[in-house]
Amino acid sequence: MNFDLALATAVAGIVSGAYYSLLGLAIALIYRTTAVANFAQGELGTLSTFLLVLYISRLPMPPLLQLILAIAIAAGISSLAYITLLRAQRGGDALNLTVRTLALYTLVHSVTLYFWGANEPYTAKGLFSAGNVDIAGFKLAYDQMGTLAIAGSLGLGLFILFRFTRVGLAMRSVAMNAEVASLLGIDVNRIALVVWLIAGAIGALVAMLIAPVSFLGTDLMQPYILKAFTAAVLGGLTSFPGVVVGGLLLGLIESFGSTWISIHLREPFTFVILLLVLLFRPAGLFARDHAGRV
Amino acid sequence: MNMRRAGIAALCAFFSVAATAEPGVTDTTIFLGGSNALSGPVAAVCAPASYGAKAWFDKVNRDGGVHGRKIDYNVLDDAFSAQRAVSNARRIVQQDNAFAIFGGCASPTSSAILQYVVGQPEVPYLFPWAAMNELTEPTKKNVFALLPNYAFQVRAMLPFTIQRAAVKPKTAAFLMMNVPGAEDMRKAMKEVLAAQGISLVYEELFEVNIPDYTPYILQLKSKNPDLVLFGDSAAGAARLFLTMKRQDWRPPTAFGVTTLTAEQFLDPVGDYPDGWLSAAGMVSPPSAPESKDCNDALKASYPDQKPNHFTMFGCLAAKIGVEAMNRTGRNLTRAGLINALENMRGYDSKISGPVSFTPTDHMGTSAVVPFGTKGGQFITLGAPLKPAR
Repeated sequence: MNFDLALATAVAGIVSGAYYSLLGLAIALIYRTTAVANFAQGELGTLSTFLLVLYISRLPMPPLLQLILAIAIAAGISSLAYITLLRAQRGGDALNLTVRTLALYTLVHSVTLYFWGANEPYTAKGLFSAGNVDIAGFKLAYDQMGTLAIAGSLGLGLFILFRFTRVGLAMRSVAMNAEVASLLGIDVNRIALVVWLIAGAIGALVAMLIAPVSFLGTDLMQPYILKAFTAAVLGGLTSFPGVVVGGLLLGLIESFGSTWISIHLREPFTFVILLLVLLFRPAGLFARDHAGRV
Repeated sequence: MNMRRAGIAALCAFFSVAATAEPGVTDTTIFLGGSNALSGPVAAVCAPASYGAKAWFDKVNRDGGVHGRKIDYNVLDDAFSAQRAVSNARRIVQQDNAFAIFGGCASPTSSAILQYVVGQPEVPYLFPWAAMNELTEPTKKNVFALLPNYAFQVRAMLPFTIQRAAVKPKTAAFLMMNVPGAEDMRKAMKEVLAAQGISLVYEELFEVNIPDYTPYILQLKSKNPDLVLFGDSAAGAARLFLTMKRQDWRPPTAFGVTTLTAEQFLDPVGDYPDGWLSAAGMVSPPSAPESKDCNDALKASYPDQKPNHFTMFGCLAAKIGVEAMNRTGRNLTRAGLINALENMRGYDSKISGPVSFTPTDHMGTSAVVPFGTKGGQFITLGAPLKPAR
């Protein structure tokens, strides 16, 4: 493999890894604060992308505002799902709550299929212009650069949120121990709502980044959601930097494995990694010892 | 006593009619069933084939029908799932009691239906959009096809593509979705390449509807072949071409199977394939003058549906179906329809080459139309092509 090809493979892997990391972050955020593995994360993103491509994009407003509106709607739908499906009847255990998200996944998928399945896939206008930039002879597509820039900014934004804001501190407290956080005067319900809102926005943004590349269909996020879970598991579902590193690692392993060894091993790579981590490092690759959510 | 005799006579008449009545045929209607991907990953490409056929049947109905009977064509959604396609076929035959299974689209679902209809040899299975050898080889009494298989397309089009190339290719690659017929296509390609002295440097089959083609394009880029044969769904091929564009690599010459003559492929990629892609077409493009009656029928039934290669194929299939039913006569039976088709020679549909079937050859067409692109529109590159003998 020559240097250019290795670089192109690395960029492709990092871009895929960025998708997995962002979605994995959304999953880990929800899991840490509400103990729910949200399987509907990807489908909610698909739903909002359909709304953007088929309806919001026709509104007389600049594309950036359309994008923000679509992300805001996605955040609203996500928090509504939390209020109506998870908070309303708390009685269930973690399995009960997780099965509710599986039901939500099926419901949202059925709705998108019913309304828009007949004409899929749809061409989604890219968030970035087409074309490449030449960096010392290596061609990098604008959408790849844009995806990396957005992923990096979002990661930095979340880091600042957690580290330097009161809401972020409250989120970390709830993630560590919701009962103690509640005794300390933190409104756990409000924090959980904020988390679902942020996760909904992240899921929508990822879907909107993927749709122009792989076209918009009702199964848009299905290949990505399980890999996002893998990224989250690599990070132990508890460490946000671990999830980011896990996602990037997964993207790179996939990319180099499929280009160097065999394309047909791309999916098996992912799930062998997932199984190995679950078997031998259930707390994640980067955990110092076995730690779970209390 | 008279009442008793009348009752027995009525019962006899009822059972006699029931015994001889042809499934799906009444005095006023002919019921045809179909299964197609009206939703799912290939819906945008496949569903228009059903709309094109239904629109033509509607036109025939408006003009008086087939010997006074109106055609009732009901298409069930299989969402590109082989299991759903089989269950649809079973329902069409066993519950809906249709006269024939008509149309459909995509090799995996058509292959599944084929497995079912070989066990129902009295039920005609007509003209699915599927380029599979298995449909017509060996000949099955009740199965008729119009789309030449992938191996045929390669044998007809690849020599033409090589001949058209600005510089004669020395190396070639094969990138094809893993569907029935793919291996035959690979074999045909190897034969043509060997005859032309071109070496095959890369060959891969991939699963339908993969989300990311980047690894394939990176591998192709590393091999840098002069010619690539692409076989993918229309949407998949569009994703593949956009990935090539993103990776800033393309072969000097490429050939695509019939799916690459769909507007769903060309619309997203625009003029990118101009001058270096040729693909195997099946019917006249919608812009051709002879396509007007199909386009008019489509507009009357589906005003929002843009004419494309698949609506045209649906129209062609419906035209041939109607012609065969007309030739069968007022006494419409499944056996009569099969007989009428087997005796159809050189039927001029106006939008394709002549259509002929024989008792031993149920593939109705024997040539493909070479398509290219110019300014983001399909153009024909020459006269219909047949494989060299």
